[in-house]
Amino acid sequence: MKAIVIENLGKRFGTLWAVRDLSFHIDEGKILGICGPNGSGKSTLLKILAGLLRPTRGMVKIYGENPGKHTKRVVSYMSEIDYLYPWMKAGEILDFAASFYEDWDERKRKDLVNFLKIEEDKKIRELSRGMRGRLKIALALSRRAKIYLLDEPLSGIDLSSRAKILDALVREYRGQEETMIISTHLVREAEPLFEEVIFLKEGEIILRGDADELRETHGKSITEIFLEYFI
Amino acid sequence: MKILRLYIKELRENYNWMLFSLLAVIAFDIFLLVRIPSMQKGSATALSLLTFVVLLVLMFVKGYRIIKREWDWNTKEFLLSLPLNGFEIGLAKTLELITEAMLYTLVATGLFLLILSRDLSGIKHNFALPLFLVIFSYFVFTGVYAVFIETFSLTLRKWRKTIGFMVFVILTYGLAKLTNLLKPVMEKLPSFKVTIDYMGQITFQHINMGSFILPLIYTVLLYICLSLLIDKKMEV
Repeated sequence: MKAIVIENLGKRFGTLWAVRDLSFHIDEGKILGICGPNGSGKSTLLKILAGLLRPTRGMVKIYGENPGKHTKRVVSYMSEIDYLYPWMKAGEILDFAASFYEDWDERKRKDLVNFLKIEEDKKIRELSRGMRGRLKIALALSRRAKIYLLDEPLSGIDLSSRAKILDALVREYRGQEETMIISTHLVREAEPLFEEVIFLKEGEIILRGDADELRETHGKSITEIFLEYFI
Repeated sequence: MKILRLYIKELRENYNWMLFSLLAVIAFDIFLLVRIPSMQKGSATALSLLTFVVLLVLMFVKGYRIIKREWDWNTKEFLLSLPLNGFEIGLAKTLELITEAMLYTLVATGLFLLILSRDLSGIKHNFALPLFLVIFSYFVFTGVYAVFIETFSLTLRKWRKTIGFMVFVILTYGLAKLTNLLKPVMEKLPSFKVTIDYMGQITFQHINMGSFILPLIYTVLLYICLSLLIDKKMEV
């Protein structure tokens, strides 16, 4: 079953096309890695899928529906930036989010909070960047969502937090039940997770395929292919 | 239920502002009352008007802040990723403004009556309720008006402040014109009969219901426009 279908998608900011003529689909239960340097359109694409940006042209369907209130119920989005209320405590933002989603899983939340060592009684503004990154991951993965959109989950985060976040992603992935899209420019760390890969450059797809097939065809790892295309 | 959660979030976020702005206004009025021990006739009206204007400005700033802060903190991405539509987000913010307007109105009316009784001791009247309603409607309208203007400017990619200011001027002018046009209709509405008894001298006045119904109608229209803006135009 197709979880996401994108046809001729374009998004323009002023005169600049952030993404243009993107067409692809993602099958349910896959982990897709969207790789590209800064400014390649990864975040724009994820924001369109999350219903935070509107396409300038083209079509996006999530389980047959346009991104909006209904799709937000099944899509768990994690932003690259610090987007949580700084005056709230870590535990409060988790409670707050829990009250909006029917698929919120309290058991997963407790597991993730323990596993990621999140201090729930600390205010978000008092947390370190690494800890805020962990909190964002806990917030996104505490749901039993059908689709997870993780925008640069490893960016700007210390090594120990990166390892924890990757472990959490592996731990919480439920196989065929969910689809995951991870955008990143840190390909080396995230590569083991990817089942499918898209390379974006200046808003366009320059390479797309099954991760194993790409490795086989090129005789290289995804990281090496990435370096070949972008350096 | 979801709207209630968002409304509580708004209240918690704005609790400090609400408390300090009210305390500041009360302290300001008490300061003036103490400084002017024997008030001249008419000074009560001036001081009450000043209090009303200060609170009106605070309401405008508040309306502006309630949406602007989501942008300054980048929490707009969190807010807009919630499974809510523009009407629900707009309603939670409007309800917070109504709560604040209610508190401001209580303080403004209370201070006005206190100042008046000090100025004209022994005055008897029945205008507290219509006064409360008129002040309340203007506070709510001002708050929602500011949210609408700021939301509109945030939906733009370029020239936000300039276009936002132009919309503010045009809309203010338009609403003033519309109010004039609707005046004959509003005059047909029932009025509050107000009696003022000061030292045996009784005067009668009428406060037309249109004076508080019209700002509330504008508020509802602005709320609808605000919600449509959030739903159809707002992006992160």
